[in-house]
Amino acid sequence: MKHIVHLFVVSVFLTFSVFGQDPAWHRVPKDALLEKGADVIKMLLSTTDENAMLNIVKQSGAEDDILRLKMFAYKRLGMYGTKAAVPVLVEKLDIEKEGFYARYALETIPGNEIDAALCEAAKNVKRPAVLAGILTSLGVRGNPQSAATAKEFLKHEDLDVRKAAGYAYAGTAGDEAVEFFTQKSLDPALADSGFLLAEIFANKGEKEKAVKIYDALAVADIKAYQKEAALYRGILIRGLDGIDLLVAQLNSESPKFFGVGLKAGRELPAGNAVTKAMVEQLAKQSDSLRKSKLVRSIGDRKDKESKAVSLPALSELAKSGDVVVRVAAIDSLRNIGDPSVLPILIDAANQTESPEIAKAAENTLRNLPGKEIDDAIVGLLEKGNSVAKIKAIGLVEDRRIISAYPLLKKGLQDSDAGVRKAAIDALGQTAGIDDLPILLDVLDKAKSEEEAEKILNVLKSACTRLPQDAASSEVLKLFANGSTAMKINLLDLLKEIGGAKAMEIVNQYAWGDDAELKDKATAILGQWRSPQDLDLVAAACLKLAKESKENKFKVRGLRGYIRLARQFSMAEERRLQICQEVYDLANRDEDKVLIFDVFARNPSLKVLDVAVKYLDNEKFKEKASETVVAIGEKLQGKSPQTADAMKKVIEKTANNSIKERAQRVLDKQ
Amino acid sequence: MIVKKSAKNSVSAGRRQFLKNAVTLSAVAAVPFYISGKVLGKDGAVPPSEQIILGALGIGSRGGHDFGVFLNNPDVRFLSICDIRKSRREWVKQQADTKYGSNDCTMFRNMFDFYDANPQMDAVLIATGDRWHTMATIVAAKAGKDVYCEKPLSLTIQESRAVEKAVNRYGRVFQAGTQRRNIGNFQLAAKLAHEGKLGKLTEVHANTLSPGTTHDWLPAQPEPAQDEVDWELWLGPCPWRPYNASYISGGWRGFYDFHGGGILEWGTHTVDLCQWANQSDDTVPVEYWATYNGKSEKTARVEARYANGVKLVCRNDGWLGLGTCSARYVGEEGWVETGDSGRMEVSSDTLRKELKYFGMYGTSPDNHIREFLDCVKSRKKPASNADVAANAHIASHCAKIAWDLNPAQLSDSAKSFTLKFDPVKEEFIGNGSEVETANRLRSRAMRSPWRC
Repeated sequence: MKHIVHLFVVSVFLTFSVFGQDPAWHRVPKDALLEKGADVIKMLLSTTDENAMLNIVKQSGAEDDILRLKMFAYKRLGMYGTKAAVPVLVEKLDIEKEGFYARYALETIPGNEIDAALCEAAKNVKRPAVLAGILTSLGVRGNPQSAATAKEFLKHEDLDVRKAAGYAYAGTAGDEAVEFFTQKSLDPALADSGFLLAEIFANKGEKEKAVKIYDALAVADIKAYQKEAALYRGILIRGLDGIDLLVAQLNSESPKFFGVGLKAGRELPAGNAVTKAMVEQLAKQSDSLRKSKLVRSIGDRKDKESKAVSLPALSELAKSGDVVVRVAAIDSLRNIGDPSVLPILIDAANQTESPEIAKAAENTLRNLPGKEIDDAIVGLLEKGNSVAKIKAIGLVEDRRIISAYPLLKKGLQDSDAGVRKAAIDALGQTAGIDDLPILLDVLDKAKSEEEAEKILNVLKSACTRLPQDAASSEVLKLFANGSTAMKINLLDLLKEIGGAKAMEIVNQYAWGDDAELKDKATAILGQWRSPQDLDLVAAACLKLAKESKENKFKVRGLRGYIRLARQFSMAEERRLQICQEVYDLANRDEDKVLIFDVFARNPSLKVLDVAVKYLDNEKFKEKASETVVAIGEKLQGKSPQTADAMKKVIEKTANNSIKERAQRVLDKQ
Repeated sequence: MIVKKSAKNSVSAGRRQFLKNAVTLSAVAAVPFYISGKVLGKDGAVPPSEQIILGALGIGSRGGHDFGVFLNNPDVRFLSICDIRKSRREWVKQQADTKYGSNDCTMFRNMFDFYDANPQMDAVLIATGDRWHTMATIVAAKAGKDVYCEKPLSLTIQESRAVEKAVNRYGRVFQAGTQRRNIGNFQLAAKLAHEGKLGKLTEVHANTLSPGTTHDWLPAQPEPAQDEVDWELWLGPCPWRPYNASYISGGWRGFYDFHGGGILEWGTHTVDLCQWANQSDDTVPVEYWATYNGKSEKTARVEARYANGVKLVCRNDGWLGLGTCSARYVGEEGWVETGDSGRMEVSSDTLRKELKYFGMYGTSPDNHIREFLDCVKSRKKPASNADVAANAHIASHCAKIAWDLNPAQLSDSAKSFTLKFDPVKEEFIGNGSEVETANRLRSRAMRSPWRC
């Protein structure tokens, strides 16, 4: 095999002596590429000369390594070939495997000569799969001169050939094909091509021909879902003339055809006539579920032109009646509602009989656009009862009614606990940096454990929206007089905030005198989440590992440091450096061994080299063996390093299972 | 100051737990409300007419996560699995049968058998590798099924549009797995752009990964038995190459024949977010160019410009660290950046007042899948419908083509050219050999019998 490939490459070399620069391939370390034929690929990448490509596809040989190079040459012909390449490519069409590569090139080369050659080839190829492929390419190319050839195979005994012929015929024949695709006894396998032909006419603006085809398909002896599709397309192509057909589907007892009506109704163009027809069908729906779906379809039209028709109907349905219909109507008001629906929505939001209705009303209130809606909500907040205030507070927050934010702070002083809670929640979502002291003060004065926990979560959500260092500075102010319990919570808050200032404060307590706070702060260093703080947290953990006088904190520092190598994104050199430092600094084996997990999670040849060195370490050779094999299993392709590493594992490990895994990796090299 | 006895523990559970708690709140606001069985007077049981019969194709790691979310929705009844890997078929069956206490979940290797045997199926979850997403969606649409399909949907511009055409041709409900459209922080960021809070929009930035892909093959290995792994079906529409187990276990990424590279991998999320922020869901940028900063793919950028003048920047460096799949929208009066952590950053205190904390990770598909299920019933187009997704993918493919043809890859002195694109004709326009080459890269032939 190697000999054959060598001859192949040499024969190509003899023809081309100048090679260009490899632009992209060297960045993809695929070993097969580096082994054989890399120069051929370099040459192909550096030229647009089709003779260079043809010279390769003309070579004999069908071994995998040769096919790989040929396939690349065919691809390049697809990009740069001309009609001059046609004779060579057509010759190859009927060859096992390679035939498809030839068609791959032919399909994109422009020129009538290519279509003519493919038509000729269609008459001569023997295998149905090849014939189907050629017909497909003729369809893709869409040259009218291919229609006669496609027509010849419409009744071929092979299903795939028939389908491909239908596709090519629809794509090339134009008017001539209408008769074929409007037969009642159309082969169901060819119905899809009938749709294609209709679309070609529709795109050309020849609507009548498209309608004729869709109507024929809707009654042809084809599959039910194909008929549904024909009806759906038939309604849409007709536009406003399709209303009768639409109405018929909306009143069909078949859920499928009713579904066709719902979909087509949504997608027909805006206009009174369509919406009016759909609204009229509401009264005819006896089933509440169907009615609710029709309501949603009307709402989704977002038809401003016909709001005079749809808004009164949906408003009425939103007020009373069956829950499922009411919820659909309330939801739909989101798309077409205006301030006139506000009383309906507020009533619905405040009623207590159906939580689904209340939830739908609140959702619509959140999303219905308009300043009038904002004003009405602010009015509720100022003058409403406690229930109304609670809803209004949520809506102010959700709709970002910035002018009403001062009223949220006022809510913190409300006598009603529910209002206070709603105000705290809303402030968590709206607080600016200036509002942070207020929330921190509320935390400090929390009246119950639950309230304190709730406020802390609210603070976290506020802090994640605020500039990191400014938020940390505000938090820092509370440390001055806070209790230890408060400070512990604040340290957690700083972890959520992240950034340089937060790290500075946490570091201060990690090296402070208060044992409880020191414990908390050192633990937090090992949990830091912000990837952008990598350098800061790495420095803090390393310092703790190196300089702490207490072993407990030393270990914390080490573990925090190795966690960064395990979980954070960083350059490979840095990751390996951290591993080395941890190995050298650790006093306990249980800490040293953590580096192997980092190696296994980040496989590369370089990491493999480092891991292999530990195979000579008596204490860790078994762990190293397991790690080296895990890396080898994850690395793609072949390499002498991987092979050597597996041999060494087999030599060193006493674990038979690891030996077997190493052997399996070795076998693939 | 009152501190609950368990406060230390409850606080140290920290952000993750906190985020979990917050999910409940944000989900209510983000998800379209749909009526429960309880409201229909069925004592919580979902009436049969409202139950969605689901199947799945190609369930790997991400698919397994999606599958679990689907299964946890009370109105979903899982029926059948189609996968070319026996081990995955059996895993899915075991999960479903355990959930229902039955032995009913059926298993298939071939998707045509799967559809023929399950005419009652309403919808499918497609979570195969990228190479199959287009074809699997087209076949599902032709079989009359609604589709939730993981991203990226396509390997080419032509495939992207073919997905949209098939879905609309058959009137199917389709949701691409670009779940950030249903996650609060991304929704709010887009809203700030839409409502003019940033001023006139000037730039949108999409977090993408290294764009390159390789045409190489991995070394041949003996093919497993067809029932264990059907290699021919695994390849599907893609060019033949010899079997290697690495492909099957997710190692197909980075190979041109199977994967769109880092721009498609993340751009289908983040370029999609930028399209949304720029209110250009119905179009794509009209110019594309690549820069190769510092000769490293990690700092490579592809930039583009929309017809409205807004610049799209696909980049992998310089983000604020707000999590994976970040997006940044820049206007004349301010900017907003957000990512999968749920956190948001803005340029001013004024804008900061607009922010909310949603606390839901961008990788979670819960809301997105719920929206899909609601739309299956209502027949509404979901947020990441096929029209929207096709354009986001086409923009990403144009960016990838601009990268692949970027002469700055070839030499230090070469300057990148600008590719102009006509979004209506969906072709690159202008003079120059690179334009014709770019146009040829809009599509790829598929192995017989597959076609778009």
